[in-house]
Amino acid sequence: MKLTIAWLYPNLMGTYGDRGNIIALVKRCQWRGIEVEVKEMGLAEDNESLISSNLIFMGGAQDRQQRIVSDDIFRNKGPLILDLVNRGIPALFVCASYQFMGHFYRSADGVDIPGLGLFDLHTVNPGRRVSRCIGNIVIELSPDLFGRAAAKPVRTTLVGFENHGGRTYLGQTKPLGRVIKGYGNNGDDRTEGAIYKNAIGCYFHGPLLPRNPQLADLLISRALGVDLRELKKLPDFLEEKAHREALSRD
Amino acid sequence: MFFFLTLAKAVYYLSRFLNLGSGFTWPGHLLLFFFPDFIEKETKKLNRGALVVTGTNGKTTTSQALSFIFRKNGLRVVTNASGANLLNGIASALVSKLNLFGRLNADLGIFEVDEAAFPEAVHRIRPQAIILLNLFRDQLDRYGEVDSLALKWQQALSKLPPSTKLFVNANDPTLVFLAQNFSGSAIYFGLDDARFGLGRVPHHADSVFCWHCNSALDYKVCYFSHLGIWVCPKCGWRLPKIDVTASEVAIGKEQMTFKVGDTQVKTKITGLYNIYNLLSVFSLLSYFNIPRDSLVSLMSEFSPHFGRQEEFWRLGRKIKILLSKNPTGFNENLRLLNIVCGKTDRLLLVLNDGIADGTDVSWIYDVDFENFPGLFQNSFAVSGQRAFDLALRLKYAGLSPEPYTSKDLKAALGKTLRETPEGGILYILPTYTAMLATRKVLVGKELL
Repeated sequence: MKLTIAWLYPNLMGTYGDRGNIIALVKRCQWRGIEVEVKEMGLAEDNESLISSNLIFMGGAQDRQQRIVSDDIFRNKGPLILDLVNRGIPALFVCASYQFMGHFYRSADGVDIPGLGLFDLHTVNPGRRVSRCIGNIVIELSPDLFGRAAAKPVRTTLVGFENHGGRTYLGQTKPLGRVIKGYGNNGDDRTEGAIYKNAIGCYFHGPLLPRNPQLADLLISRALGVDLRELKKLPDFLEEKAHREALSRD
Repeated sequence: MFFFLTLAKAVYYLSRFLNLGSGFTWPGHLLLFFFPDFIEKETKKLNRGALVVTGTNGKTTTSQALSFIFRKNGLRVVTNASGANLLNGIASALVSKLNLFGRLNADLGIFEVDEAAFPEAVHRIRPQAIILLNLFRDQLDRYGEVDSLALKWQQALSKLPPSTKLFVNANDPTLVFLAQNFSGSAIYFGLDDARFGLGRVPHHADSVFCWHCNSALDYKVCYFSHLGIWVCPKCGWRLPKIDVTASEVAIGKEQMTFKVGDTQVKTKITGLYNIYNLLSVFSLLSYFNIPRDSLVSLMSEFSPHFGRQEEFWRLGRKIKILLSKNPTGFNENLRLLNIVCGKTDRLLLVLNDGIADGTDVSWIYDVDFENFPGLFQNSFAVSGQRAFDLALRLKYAGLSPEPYTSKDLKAALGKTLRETPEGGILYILPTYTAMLATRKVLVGKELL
């Protein structure tokens, strides 16, 4: 058993502590004695290392970096990412990359920037006059995430921080969860994130997985093709403590 | 005007007397409400003009050093010394130097300015010189992205007269881009000491892309974050000729030495990041014709305060506070401590998530705790409003044993201080509001 993580554009798409997610995945494998490798995929990397990966992660970005990435992804890695996700490879897309995995992003000046269309959703930036969605966020994870066969983790809440200008509207794609506190996809319909096969998109920016180890473990188990219950239990006292602190904050 | 001035001054003295935390900005609030052009009017009265210092890190230390040296040279300085660097803070500083007849008791203004407030502030102050220290990732929830901030600065600079002198960190590509687009001229300061280069550009660096052609910049040397000796491999855009260079840096526990050209400089503040602050001071003061000898001796006398390597003595132990409010500052403090920390020294890390800290603490995952396992071999402690998030971060950095973790700052401070061996130093690394809270415990009479 080996976990091979393709970390897409770490230098370009890694705005604010995004690598916390990689650190969490790596450590939770190492603590269980599961071999783990991280392949950092920049602009120059060939697609070979992407093909041999069983987990994909892509973080958020600034506008300028996003343009550089979008060029590369359309010309280069995009079709392969779609193919891998369609074959059931788990993936986590955060913030800017979540938006990018929809059909299009309508910028503040009304220009539609096409996305990869992995999720059936689109994003609209309402312009600078409308304030960004910034703050702590808590959601209840959708039962769709766990499927029928796999065990449900004890914790089904997700805690984190969101910071996005764009409002995302889902089509047929199922949401990752229901907003308990915060804005979520658009601040209106109380949905947050999206699920397609084993791919997850969401606005939980930065280090989402350390405080939500149940999601980290779900991704790991799906990548390795084992049931969540088969993963060795870890002493998650601090994770649990930080998670509970976040739940109790106003 | 007279009435409001009296009122503002009354508020100023009352809030000082009552030791209210927000005392330094309330008078400013009041005045700006009634007199929106108060800052323009008052700064115009300064017969030696005004200087503005901005950047993500080092503003307070730099303006403190400038004020110290200019004052020693006989000038009456008005400055927002306690880090109140929004417009209110600047107005409050001006109020404190006004007499009741509206006469300003100062020759020179030295203002540190918040990155986001910079455009508005320079528009009002019309400074004769501006120091641009650096632009790092800091408080995404408040400032937005680094690039968009840079573009706002560019716009602000384009509205200033070309006679405005810029003092610019040449090791920061973004700032060089801004200076080269400015209609006036710039003096570049920078570091040239390859021994302090990191192996590679760190993961959290922000501006590693060419502002002209978007290619990744090549770094011959990278000192920290995105500061270094850089060149664009595609279009050839490169580090400009540096006018004021620091070299032969030696970092010690209680002092630091380096050379500026042929001049040997010794300072009480230490750490590589402080070289930039001191270099900017050196460049500006040389430009203003402060004699070299006096400059060097005054720089060696300067000791900062307000949480920037500020020292206290309690229970027979020395305490040093090293404000650590963003990844770059935190990483550089860890790097400094890794050089100077001894077996008898202890660490206390304090993480808050107040508005002034940034309510988003994601950035702690951009701090390279895993690079300094030796530093965390001695027992250490974690505190602050987000103590458990920080403890979790340290767990994922692979540091064990788990630190003592408590949200109760007074308890954590008392415990670590008592556990610091005699002759040892307790180093406290707090975020901004955590630094204020720490000082309050240390300065107040509260028992440890």
